Amino acid sequence: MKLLIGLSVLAVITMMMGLFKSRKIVLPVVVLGLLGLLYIASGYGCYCEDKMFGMYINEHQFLKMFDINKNSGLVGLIMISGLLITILAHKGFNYTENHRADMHALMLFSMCGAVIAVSYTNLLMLFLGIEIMSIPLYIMAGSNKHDSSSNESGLKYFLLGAFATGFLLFGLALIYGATGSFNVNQIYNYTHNQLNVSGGIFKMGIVFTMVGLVFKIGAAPFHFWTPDVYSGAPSIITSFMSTVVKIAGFGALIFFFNGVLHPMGAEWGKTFAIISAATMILGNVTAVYQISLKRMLAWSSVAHAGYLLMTVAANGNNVPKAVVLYLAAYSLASIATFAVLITTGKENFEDYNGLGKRNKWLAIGLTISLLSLAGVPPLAGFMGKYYLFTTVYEQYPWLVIVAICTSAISIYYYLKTIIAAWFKKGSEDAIQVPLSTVFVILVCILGLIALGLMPQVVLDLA
Amino acid sequence: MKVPIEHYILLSTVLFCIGVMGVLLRRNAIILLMCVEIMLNAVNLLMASFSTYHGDAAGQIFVFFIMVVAAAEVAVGLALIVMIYRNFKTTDINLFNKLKW
Amino acid sequence: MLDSSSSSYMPIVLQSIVALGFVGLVLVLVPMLGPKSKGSTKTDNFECGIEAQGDARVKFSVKYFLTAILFVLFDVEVIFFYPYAVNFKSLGSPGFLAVVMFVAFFLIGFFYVLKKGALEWEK
Repeated sequence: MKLLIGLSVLAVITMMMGLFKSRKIVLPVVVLGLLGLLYIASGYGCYCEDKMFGMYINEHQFLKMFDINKNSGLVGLIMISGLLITILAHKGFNYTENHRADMHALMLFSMCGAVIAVSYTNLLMLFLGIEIMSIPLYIMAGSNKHDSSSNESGLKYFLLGAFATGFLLFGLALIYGATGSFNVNQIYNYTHNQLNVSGGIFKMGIVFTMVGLVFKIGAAPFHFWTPDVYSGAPSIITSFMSTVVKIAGFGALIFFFNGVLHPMGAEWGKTFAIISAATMILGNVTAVYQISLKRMLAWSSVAHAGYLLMTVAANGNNVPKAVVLYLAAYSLASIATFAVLITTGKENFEDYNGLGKRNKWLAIGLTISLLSLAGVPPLAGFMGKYYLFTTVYEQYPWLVIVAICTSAISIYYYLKTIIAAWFKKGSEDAIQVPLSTVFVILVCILGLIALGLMPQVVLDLA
Repeated sequence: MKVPIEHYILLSTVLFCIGVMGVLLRRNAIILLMCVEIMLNAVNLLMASFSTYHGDAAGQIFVFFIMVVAAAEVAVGLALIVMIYRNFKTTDINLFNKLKW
Repeated sequence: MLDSSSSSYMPIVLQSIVALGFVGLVLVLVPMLGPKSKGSTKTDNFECGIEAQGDARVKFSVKYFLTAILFVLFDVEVIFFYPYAVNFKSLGSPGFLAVVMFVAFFLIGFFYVLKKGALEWEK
């Protein structure tokens, strides 16, 4: 709760700073504030359930087997990603010079929503968290007012996001109708006790909720908005969407299905396995045909959503740890890649030809993060995939085979970019990299290597 | 005479489907927004009727939150549509095809 | 009192007859009694002020839109006061503090809107 109050107060302060022409100190204040909040989040040892707000700040009896939500893993990941992206925004928000403070405030509000979405005990908070996260995002996606593709991306994201919210809400209403409560524990008890009862309304509720949540994380068959929105939005916002928002969406989805609906796993597990396989195949195969790096990253984020959905299908007890490790590896690598994208300001592959000659550090950052995304040892991405595949293998061997084949495809398009960056001839002008971006790339690379060598750190934490 | 809960479920499902069909078939951004509102109102009706059925106030509180969130969403959405209209001079979503795979 | 015989509906029937009769009477009488005038000015569309010209879709200031949206936002927030008003006594001072916090956030938002100049009509 402290963390959430701190975040929202920080957001309000940032918003106010925009009014008083204190543009210069906005970034330092936000960064310092986030560092302070990260300290609070790390000392989140006191687990206690907040009855009033339906927030989940503790480990409840049934959640002992599912201890992802102790707020150490996912919330920490959200905070760290948010912090790195905020530092990146030093250059990333250059397109909207007059509204810097507003944009920072929107990002912080969105992070509030993300924290709520991964730590709810009441379905009302699930809905509110996802909405508080999404509504600032609609604005941010369309924030480059004079760029028509940003406009279009904002409108598309808004219309489809609102549509998905409708489905999510309808599902929640039906679940409420069947169980008579929004409380997670009571719904868990309902599913536990009524395994053999065929509650039609309850099942319909699960289906609608599934549609809503799968829409939000951008997995097949509801993935079609992802590449459009990701490639249209300003790069800094895309990096936020593909990390913080994805973490929060997955946290919400996994907690709902592997935690609350755990006993009914046999009924929805197969559906998720199929969704996951379709997402992996679609994402990876389509990514091969892209001519824009940003769009390729968008498709690859769809593919990564597919890998993560495998764990939802597996519905095991070890799953959350693997998910946290994978999400950490994925977020760090994405942030580093987007840092390169923001610095060059170019989106097509040709613009990355000969990047190694123009700026060595950018090229190294791009190489290591793309290798990690491809899952090459000894980087974090490999460890993430390894733990993911081993947890899923017992239940869905075929799914793991699909995943391995599609990762092989993914190595092709990641390597294509890396080869272009080092060996192809392109423009020769050197690129100036601001210190903030260098710092972010450095942190990401070090994180990727450290997690690859010592994944136990995150696994213990989660 | 008491109206059975099934009627409410049926009514709100029909309303919800009208909204969904509207979103899928219509091509004007503002009408799309209205259809999304129909969907949310269908949910509100369902929540309120289940709330009365269970004799539990939580559903009605949920309705309040849905209303507020819907208002915030509409504010953001209309602002986006105004911005789009200034740049494109139209609100027909078929014409926004700059981004395609 | 509450017998369902037809006599109990008599007042309603009377009332309806009087109401309809009055409307009919007025509709018949007014054209007969009132003054009449004919001419091109009479048959013209009614336009207030200067004569209409140009496109009907005039560019309107976005300020109307802004004000309307702000009204909707601040109006809808008021529904949170209904549950509080109903449970005013039982919630006691913690509830009061929560509502004060809510209103404070509200006022911060309002202050932001004012400072941004969203409600200024002339600039």
